[in-house]
Amino acid sequence: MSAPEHTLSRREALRQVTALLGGAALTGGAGLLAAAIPSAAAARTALAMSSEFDAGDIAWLEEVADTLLPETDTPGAKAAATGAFVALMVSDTYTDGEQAQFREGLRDIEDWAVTHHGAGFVALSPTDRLAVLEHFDAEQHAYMNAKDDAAPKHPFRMFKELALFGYFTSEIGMHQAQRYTEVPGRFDPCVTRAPGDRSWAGG
Amino acid sequence: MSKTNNEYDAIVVGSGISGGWAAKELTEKGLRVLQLERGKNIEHITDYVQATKGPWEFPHRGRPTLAMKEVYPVLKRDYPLDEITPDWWASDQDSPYTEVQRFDWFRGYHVGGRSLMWGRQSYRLSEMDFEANARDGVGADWPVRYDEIAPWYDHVERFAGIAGSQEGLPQLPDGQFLPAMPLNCVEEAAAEKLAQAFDGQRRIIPGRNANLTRPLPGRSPCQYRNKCARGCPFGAYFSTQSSTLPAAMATGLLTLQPFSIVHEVLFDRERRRATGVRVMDAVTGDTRDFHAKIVFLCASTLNSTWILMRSATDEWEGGLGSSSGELGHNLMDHHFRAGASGTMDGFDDKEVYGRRPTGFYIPRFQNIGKDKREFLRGYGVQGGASRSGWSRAVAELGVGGDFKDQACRPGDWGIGGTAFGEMLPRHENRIWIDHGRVDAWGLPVLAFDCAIGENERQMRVAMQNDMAEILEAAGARDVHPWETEYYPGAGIHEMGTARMGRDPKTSVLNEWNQVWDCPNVFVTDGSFMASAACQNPSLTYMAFTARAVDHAVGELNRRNL
Repeated sequence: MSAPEHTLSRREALRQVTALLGGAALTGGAGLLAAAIPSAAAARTALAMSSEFDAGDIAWLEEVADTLLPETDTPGAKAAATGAFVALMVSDTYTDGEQAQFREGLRDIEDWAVTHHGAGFVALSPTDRLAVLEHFDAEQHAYMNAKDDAAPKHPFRMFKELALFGYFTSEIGMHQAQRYTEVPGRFDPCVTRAPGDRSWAGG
Repeated sequence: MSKTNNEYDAIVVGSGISGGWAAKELTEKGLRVLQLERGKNIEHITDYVQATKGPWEFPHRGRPTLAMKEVYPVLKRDYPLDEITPDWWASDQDSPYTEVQRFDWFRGYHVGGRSLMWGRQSYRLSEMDFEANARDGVGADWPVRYDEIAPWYDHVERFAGIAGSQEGLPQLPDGQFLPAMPLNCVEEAAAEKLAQAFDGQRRIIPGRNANLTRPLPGRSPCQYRNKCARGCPFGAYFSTQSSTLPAAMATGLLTLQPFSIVHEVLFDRERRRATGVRVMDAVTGDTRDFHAKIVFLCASTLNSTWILMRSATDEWEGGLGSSSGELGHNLMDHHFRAGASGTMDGFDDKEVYGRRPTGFYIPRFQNIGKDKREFLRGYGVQGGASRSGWSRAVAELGVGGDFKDQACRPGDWGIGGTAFGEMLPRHENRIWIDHGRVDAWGLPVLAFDCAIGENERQMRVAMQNDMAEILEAAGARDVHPWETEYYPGAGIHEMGTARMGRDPKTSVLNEWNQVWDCPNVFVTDGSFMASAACQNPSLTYMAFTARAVDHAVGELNRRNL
């Protein structure tokens, strides 16, 4: 699958911003490096190469989402099938160009896991998984804060947006991660909340 | 088909806010009424199939898909297109229109029309608004003044149920309100500071909305679910289905006929009166004539004008009401999406309970008293204060358990709002029939050429600056003025194109909403508006409709029609 032009421009923009910020990590460079390593190349072939997400892709997305939003005193993203939701949203609401960017971003994550931690994302320890996502999160955060409005979103930001949206609008996310009642029955304009109380979810 | 089956005392075209009121008032005065609706029926409660669903019950959690956007090339431009009630908006495929300049036309073609999906903000126009055209030498003078319409505002507010506070503001008259939905504690604090800072000239008041805070017959008070636009199973907001239709049906005098597209008003050239309407069955395409002594066009602003343009064309090439040269002209909307937002400190231990289906309102303060501006007229602001939730975490740095646990808890209190500004009536903002293009029923479509002008552009700058100043005075930090793209129509407050006036040479309708050239045809949707003011207009359509019905029935009894 050849990279569409907009993907290149996104990656080019990413390089420029990363360079601008004096960052050493060049995602594109890491991806190219990874392509030269047999295990990484195999991972690329296995991951998200089809036009639709297959069961393996979704299982992988569930693990990434569950690292972003793990089980704490409330269930994690996997329990809310957040990975499947992300895949559905990308397939049904993203343009072809956005989908290509998103998939390229997933491959970058997998490449980075293999290159820097010695195995694909799913095979990593919780600590290493978190380190991989921290890397991409720092990169997206810097990129998104510096980019022009017209420039494409960072793929990890796309993922983060969809994963948060999916988790917090799921039945678990509404009822357990937040407080939700379908029929509040009254409006109280000023309630004192206890420290640690969760948000009231919107309808 | 026997002739008697086709004869009524009155025909009402349309079943939205205006049509619903016309049918209610006419039947309650004893007339046999045929109400024609171009689209399908939507039954109160039983057809509100999405009303009680949580977001997780929608595969895309309510967001539109690419496939939906292909089907709705116009609707996708704005918020109305979602996964929840797409079939409550007119099909862009079946009902295309021509845009010389972009005009966002979001229509509800079903029983109830946009009364089901409306924003429910309900404000009276004031004396200042009715005098404005005459004072400024803009457009046509309103043939009505505030004291003439005030009792009709009373009448419709009592029945519709408007929550609001008594404020004693001449530019935003008080009314027959149910208790207001209160400001929350942050809005309350902002209101107090603001009133002090501007000596009461700029004020934050509770929004006035057509949601019940006390029960009315057959309707329950608001349950604070804030899912109004899906239809309310409690009947807690004003709609045709919850309010005017049951009242009209209770008389036993109403016949409601969906799938009935009015092709034209039938005009008797000898008698100079309408005899009825020609109706096309939207499913079969068959046409059939219905007759009545009076016709109320309540088909929505642009659709009523479209019908007039198709009527009596053998007498007037431009259609019924075109002799003034103003039919189709003076199209208006409210321009909006300019304002400011900020953050309010000091309320970390506070939250609200319940989802209030309104916010605050800042009544117009520009060009009032000592506040003189370069532009004419002014704007009001609709806004609110609320605590940020999980969505703030999208832009924050962080992954993992602590990040997630933070995202589960409320963040800062934000405060902000958008202004809704008056758009001046201008002859060159217009619609006409594009004879080169037809809709799914073979009717030549409407064409639009409409844009905001210099007065509105100047106002949009003030909307941002003033709102920023207001928020800073109200105690907000990190205040950001903002403006986003606006195209006419996006306010979904389309008004004008058959304005009322004092002179048949310069207006389409007289002071009673009667077509000058055919006095047994009344137009009482937003088409009649001679100016837009800056208040949400639906309450004004209700009041003028009720007043027009009262006049029509009086004239029938006096045998003047």
